[in-house]
Amino acid sequence: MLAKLLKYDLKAIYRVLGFYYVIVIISTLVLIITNVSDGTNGLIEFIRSFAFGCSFGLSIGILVNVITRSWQSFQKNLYGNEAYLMHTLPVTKRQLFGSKILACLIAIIFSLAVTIFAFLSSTGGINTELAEMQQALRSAGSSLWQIIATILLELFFVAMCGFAGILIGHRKNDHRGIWSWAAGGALYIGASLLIPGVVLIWSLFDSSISNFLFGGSYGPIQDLIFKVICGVDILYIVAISAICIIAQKTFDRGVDVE
Amino acid sequence: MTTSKTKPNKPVAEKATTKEPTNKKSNGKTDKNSIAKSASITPLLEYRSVSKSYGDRTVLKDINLTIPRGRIIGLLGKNGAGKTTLIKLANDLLQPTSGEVLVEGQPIGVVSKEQISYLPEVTYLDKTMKVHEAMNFFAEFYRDFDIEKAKKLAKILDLELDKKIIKMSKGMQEKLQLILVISRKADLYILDEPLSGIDPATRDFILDTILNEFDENASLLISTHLIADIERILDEVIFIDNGKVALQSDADALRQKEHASIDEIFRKRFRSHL
Repeated sequence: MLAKLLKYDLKAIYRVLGFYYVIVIISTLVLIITNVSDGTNGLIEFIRSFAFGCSFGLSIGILVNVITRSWQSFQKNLYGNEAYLMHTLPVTKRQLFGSKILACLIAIIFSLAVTIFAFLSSTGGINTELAEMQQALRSAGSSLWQIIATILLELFFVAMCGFAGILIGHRKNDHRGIWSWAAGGALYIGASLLIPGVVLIWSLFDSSISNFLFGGSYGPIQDLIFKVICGVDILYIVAISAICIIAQKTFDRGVDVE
Repeated sequence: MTTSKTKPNKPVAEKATTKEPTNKKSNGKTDKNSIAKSASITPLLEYRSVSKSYGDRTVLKDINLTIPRGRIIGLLGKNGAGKTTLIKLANDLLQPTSGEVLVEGQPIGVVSKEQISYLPEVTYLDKTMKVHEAMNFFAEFYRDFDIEKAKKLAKILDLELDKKIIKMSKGMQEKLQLILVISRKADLYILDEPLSGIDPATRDFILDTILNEFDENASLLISTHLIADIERILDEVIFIDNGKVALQSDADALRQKEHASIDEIFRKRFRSHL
């Protein structure tokens, strides 16, 4: 049943998001093609600029859209008119909720992939950009995969705060939208403050981090950056898991569909 | 449209206004003995001391109600009486403030959702779907969904399988939802205002289809304001007034007692409150 639900949830998200992907990919391909120009042809330069704008702007739009569309689909499916169908399907609450979360995660992964493709292709071409970026990140102590993982976790964390906010906010009888935003915002701010707070506590036990923050010798910066980013990623995973548990438990208590 | 051989010959348009018992559904299982017999076994749907409040506003007050198998029951009441709230509680769309709702003795859950086929008042389908996609959706999730029957009914009701739901009129959307619900072989059909958006000519066909396709072991709970149209098929009636069960009775017994149709009894009872 989870697979069936997931199929329909992904369809709902990609109904519009798919168009964004197509436009970004086409714009990026146009950009790649026009990048070979020597810059003397006015028409090609115009097309390249337009394609760059589409590719770059819509790439950001994809990442925003995937989260907002997931929230919208979540609210409509579980509390709007479609809720009369979804809640009466012979599926468990865990499956209903799990399907929405998985659909969002899958959409975020693919959206990030399209965005990265667009960014890397926007100047010298994918291979050149990738190589330069890898080199720069390695010398800073990180890696491209680590940065992508961190961005992915941050996006999913934002999405989860929204889902949990909707579930908590809809336990109220009135002004559910406002309560949803308030609950989601509170979760996001609270967890976002907790993460650097934990790093501060960590610094009490790790002298290199403490020295970096408050002055002193901390050894090779690359090792420190890698360690801190890994630590933050782990904290994101813990925060996402905690919010997921809160959301699931709230959902398990049942819904009141208007 | 095929009709059952045992279906009574009474014209479809005739209303139940005489003192004599009206035509019952074709299986004739509406005597009091069957009520007593069905009461001794686990009811199909049961409300035990159910109340529902929204803050200070109480919508349902200490409802105790049982729906047995094999009955067609009309859930009747004025606007705002609590009929839809009662129905939504049985379908996991609302949580009771107190009390419990049981389906064959078990709390509402996956099993009860397989047993209940529910038609809400709202259009609940994804409107970007086409008619055949909605049918495929139901076939995927409900093991008891008869897609061939659904297609047959769609053809009779002039619904094009390739048409998008968003391009259909409200009445056609309601017809589609009704087709999807009655194409399941459920134990309990709960229809909330199934006829309100349907033209009069089609209403009788819908009612006859419900009767003809209806499994004798299943139950049907209909909430409607069009009492005159449906009372000929009702075995029992439940009147809800101000969040409480005002009356639950065998339909024929009530007509005999009051010497009036259910529609007239309803009007008299609730008019006096105005």
